[in-house]
Amino acid sequence: MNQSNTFWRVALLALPLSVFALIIIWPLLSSFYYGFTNWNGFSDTYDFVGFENFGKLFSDRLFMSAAINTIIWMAIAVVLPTVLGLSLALLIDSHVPGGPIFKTIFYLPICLSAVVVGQVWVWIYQPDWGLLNSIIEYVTNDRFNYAWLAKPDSALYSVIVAWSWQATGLSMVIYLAGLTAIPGDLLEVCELEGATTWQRIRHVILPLLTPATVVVVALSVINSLKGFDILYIMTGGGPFNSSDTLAMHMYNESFKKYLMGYGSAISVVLFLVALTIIRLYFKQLKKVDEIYG
Amino acid sequence: MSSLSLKNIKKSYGQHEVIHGVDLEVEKGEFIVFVGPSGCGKSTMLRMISGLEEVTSGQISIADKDVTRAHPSKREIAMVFQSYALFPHMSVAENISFGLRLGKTPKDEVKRRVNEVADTLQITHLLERFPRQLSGGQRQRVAIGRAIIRNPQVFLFDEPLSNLDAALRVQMRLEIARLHKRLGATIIYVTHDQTEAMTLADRIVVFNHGVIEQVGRPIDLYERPANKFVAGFLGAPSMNFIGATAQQGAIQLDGFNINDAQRAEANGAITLGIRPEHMSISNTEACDFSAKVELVEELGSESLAYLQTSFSSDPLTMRVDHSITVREGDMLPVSVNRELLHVFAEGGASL
Repeated sequence: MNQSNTFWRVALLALPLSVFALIIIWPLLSSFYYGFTNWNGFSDTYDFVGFENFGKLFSDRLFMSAAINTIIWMAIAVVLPTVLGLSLALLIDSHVPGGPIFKTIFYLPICLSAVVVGQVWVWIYQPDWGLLNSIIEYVTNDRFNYAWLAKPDSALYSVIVAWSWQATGLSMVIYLAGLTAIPGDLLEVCELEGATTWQRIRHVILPLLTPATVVVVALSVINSLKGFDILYIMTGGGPFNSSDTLAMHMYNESFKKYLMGYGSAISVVLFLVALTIIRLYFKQLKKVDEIYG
Repeated sequence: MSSLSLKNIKKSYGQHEVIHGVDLEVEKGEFIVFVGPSGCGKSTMLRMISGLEEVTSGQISIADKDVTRAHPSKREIAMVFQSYALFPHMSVAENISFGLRLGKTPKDEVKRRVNEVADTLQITHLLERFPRQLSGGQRQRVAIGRAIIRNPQVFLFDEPLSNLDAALRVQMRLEIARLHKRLGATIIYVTHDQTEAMTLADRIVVFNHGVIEQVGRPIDLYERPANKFVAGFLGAPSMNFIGATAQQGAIQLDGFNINDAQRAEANGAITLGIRPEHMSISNTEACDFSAKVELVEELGSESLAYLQTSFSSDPLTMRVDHSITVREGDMLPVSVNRELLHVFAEGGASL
């Protein structure tokens, strides 16, 4: 009985494990491997260069600016979708008229691919007839044709706003689930004790939403590290690499400059950063579980 | 001075009326227990007193002030929930002082009052702990502490002991009774446990289908229930009911020597009510009926014998002292204490 159980366990695990190994573990190990080579991505021969690629990272001006952009993206990603998602969730949870319709509308961007979202926002930012400039013109009653995506000062932030617009729906849904999980009698205690709306949010709802916040922040940070597809559609990292992120920089180095070895080294760095964040996330999750679980 | 007054309270959800006009006067310092089966409206009534549920019509007064439409926090009440409703992210001290801190009470005073309350409830050593580090009984004490610190006119308890195990429930029951004596507070206590009701209450209010069936001292309700529902609800094991007929006051039932029991108002179909403790095994030849023992439950200090009779389709429950041995299959001569016999009219009213 036990033996046949073991057989089935191994047999049933084998298929998903082999797929996982093929599409996750193998490419991951390959990246590590190529990170130590000067492979160009297509030739049969390459040399081992040791830590040269990793050393080069420190002197690569574009890598540094991409790293800074990624940190900016991450910082805004922590704040914007979290605050917006929480605000929308609180608003919808307070039974505003049309709440369920708004919930669907705000969630809709999640169902779209980043490419579609990117293209929609390219149109919104379009200098001459885009929605944003049209609204500004309408409000100020003056000609306004700022090219949001073509200026180094605003390109990165414009993309982050578009990305946050998509990410907000997910945070909202996670927060709504968190709000549903708050026991009704705790909120009734607030009412009996005479807490104002703000006191209720500040002292009870926000602390009780900590598990949701940990998930939202972690997802935002991890997703911001992957900030590539929407960026590729909207700016391609430009103008003048001003909106380059690590993921974008890795792509450019690997597939445009054919420096697969160097690109792999960047991907290894990205992987290690993501790993650290995920570790912190699980550590925090465990702590939260101890308090609220 | 009346501590709490309910006048013709009604509650409807849409077209569906769940509380059909409740009137009640509660004196200062009284321990009132709302009791009744699930869905009878007792918890809804408590929530309306607290203000967490709106009243459809009628008037609620607390300390002679009309609070029918007042916000829960303005009613001078405090409530203890079945689930304890403690904030998991706050320490015991923070939970107890929650209301005071919201009201920006000076820190020194908050500390002094928290210590006072903790002292009363003997939880001083737990003040720095979090709810997850407490046992069920300790959590309930903290919840009571949060209520006491408000110094309210009326305490509302919503099935506070339901989540505790049997032994702890008895202990906490005793503590609540002691606390009531010490504080002299007015308490409205909701439970479906009739033992809690009987042991704690100054007066019991029996609810059924959104109306009050009877209000009175526990012993009065036990001895003189107003109707069949109250008679059946209070007392464990519950009262035996036997269908019978009466003609001009004389009760008739084949197989039960009951002709001598008279109830002037009884006529037609009636129900006899006999508590298990008011039946006994007859020592003499003269008995009221013979019954076969179907099953015996040994409870230690006593036994419960379930009796098959010719006149009742349901077995009758009889309490038997542990010194008397009763076996399954025995034929027993049974006598019924006539003075403690209950008779109910067809509609259920006590005769």
